[in-house]
Amino acid sequence: MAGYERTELTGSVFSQYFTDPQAADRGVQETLSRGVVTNYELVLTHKSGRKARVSFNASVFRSGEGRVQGIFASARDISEQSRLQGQLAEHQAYNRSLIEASADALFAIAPDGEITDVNEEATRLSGFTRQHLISSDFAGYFTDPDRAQAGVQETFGSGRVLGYELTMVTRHERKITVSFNAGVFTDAAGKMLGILASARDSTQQKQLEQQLRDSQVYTRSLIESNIDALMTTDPIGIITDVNQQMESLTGCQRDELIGSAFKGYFTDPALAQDGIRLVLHEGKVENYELTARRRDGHETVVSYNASAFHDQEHKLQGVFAAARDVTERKRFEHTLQEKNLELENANTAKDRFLASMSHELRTPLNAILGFTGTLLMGLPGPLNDEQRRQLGTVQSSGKHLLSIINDLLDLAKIESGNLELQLVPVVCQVVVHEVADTLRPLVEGKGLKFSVEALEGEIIVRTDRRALSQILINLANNAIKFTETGGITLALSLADDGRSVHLGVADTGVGITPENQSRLFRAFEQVGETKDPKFEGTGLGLYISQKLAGILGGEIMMDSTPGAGSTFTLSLPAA
Amino acid sequence: MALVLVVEDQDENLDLMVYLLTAFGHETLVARDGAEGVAVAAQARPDLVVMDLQMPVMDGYEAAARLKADPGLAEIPLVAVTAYAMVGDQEQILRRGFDGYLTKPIDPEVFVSELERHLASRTPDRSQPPGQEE
Repeated sequence: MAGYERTELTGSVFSQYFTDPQAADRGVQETLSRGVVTNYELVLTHKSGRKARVSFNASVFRSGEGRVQGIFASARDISEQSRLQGQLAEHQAYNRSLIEASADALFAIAPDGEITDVNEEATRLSGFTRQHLISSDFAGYFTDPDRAQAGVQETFGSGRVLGYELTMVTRHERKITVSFNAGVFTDAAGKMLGILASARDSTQQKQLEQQLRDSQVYTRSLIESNIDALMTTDPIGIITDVNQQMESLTGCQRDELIGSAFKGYFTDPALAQDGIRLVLHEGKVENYELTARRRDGHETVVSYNASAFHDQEHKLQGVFAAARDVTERKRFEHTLQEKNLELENANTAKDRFLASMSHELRTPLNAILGFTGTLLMGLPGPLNDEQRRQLGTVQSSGKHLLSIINDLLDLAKIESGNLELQLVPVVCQVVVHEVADTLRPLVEGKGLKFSVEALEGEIIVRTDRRALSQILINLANNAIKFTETGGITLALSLADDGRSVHLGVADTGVGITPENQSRLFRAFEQVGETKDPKFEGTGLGLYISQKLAGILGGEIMMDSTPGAGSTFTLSLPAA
Repeated sequence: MALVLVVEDQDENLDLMVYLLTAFGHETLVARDGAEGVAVAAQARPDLVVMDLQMPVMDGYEAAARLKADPGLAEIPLVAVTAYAMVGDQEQILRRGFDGYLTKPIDPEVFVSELERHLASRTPDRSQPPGQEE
């Protein structure tokens, strides 16, 4: 073993043959003191220099009197064993690290179902300690122990089980779905020692699957619940999916529709196909109208919104198209058009009515007033006083009726928005003097003083000349009507800020009390207690004037002192 | 005494105007629309034409334009009779060929005095009424 001859060895010092002579000496001393040592390992240096690990068992041997004679030491070369043991230890460490490194929880299970080993992940997954798990019953950790047991048996039976799902109950009472892959392990002789089961927590995966299923259901119900007829086609226009509305639109079943050409369900297939082409070209179309023809011949006008859709790699997959039934809308639009036409006609009829009324109402008055005039002039013959008085009443009543008719027609025109305004630059001085010329005979005929106070030069407003004149005449007529002494003044001035033009009509008449001032601009209201027939009017004059002023962008302001007179001022924006 | 053409589609107004003109010693001719008015004027060459604006077939504005476009008739005074005229309408009426205007309802006194004013201002060579040719 040492490579030396017996003769060489005998008589030499024992310890010199070892790499560690002191350890060898200590072994000798230990043997001497304790009488025996076992498996005392030393490294023997072979004569060739090779080292060998040896294991000594040694005991003292004694003389007949019990005196220690020496030591008997037997050495066994353990180098190979040591190496194998080393290898084994390495393998075990390797296996252990493999086991521990596994992302899955690993359980080693004996044939009787008892856990014999676990890895860290198994403790993490279950929440139980290694100590708790080892030697406990594997099946006991699951909601359905029988099924767990059956899994173990199945593994023993078939040698291997994959994707065996069990629900584990953790230490914290949480239920997790785990998927087991298991296989048997045997000794070198092929004897079954147990099974190694790897478990993966599939809860998360389950959830994802569930989510996916949910979202598919969600998407499907979105599609089905949509009020529009939905469909997808491939890029050449073959239907790949539809919803129920599409079935009702076409009168065909889902499985008939899928795989057929989209264009076949429309009165104008070429137009339908053009629609698909347009979507593919433009990416989308909106309000593309087609008429769908159902199997029974019923036609529905639909408006398509469609867009091309792509997969994650942006590869064109087809067209998603939503058709909305616009038959009702079309019908509605048609009805609306008809109604509009009716309204237009009605409006035209009303305008015609107004125009003809203005003609028809005045025509008889022309004759009444005209021939009353000729009678009063005495043209057909002389009149007595009573005849003259009565004809005078006819004349004044006729004139009153005429003014009512004129006011009503004006009002109708304004209220219906049919007043045609021509906004042009108007020189205020010109209008004021025109109005003054028109009214002067009336004012002076009543014995009143008439004066015009207009600024020199030209004040220009952009307005409708007729309306402006009418307002001033209305205001002035009122002033004349309610003034018995003094005079009427037409005044033209610029507001202090220069932004508006003031056209005023001032009188020295009866004036208006504060209570009455608020009612002044209302329709059909005449203020004052007087029943004097000479004050009679429609009560529309101021109302119409204020309306007209508003249309012209201005307003009428009023200032009055009862008993002293009133001033009405039309304010218009300066041009 | 003058020859006056009254162009008016309404009987009542026509009656009134004819009566007034006759009462003040004038001879009258009548037409019921603008086209007839132009035709009668061309044939009879009146001293004065009194014409409504709103009429069937041809309205007063169109008839005025025809009359004023004819050199032989352009000198005849032309007075419009219009319903419900406003201050400012006068401008348009005068701009479109009329020499004066009267508003309806016709006030007999205003009517007579206005027509007399126009007859008085007519050119001397048109003072000879051609009524005898009828």
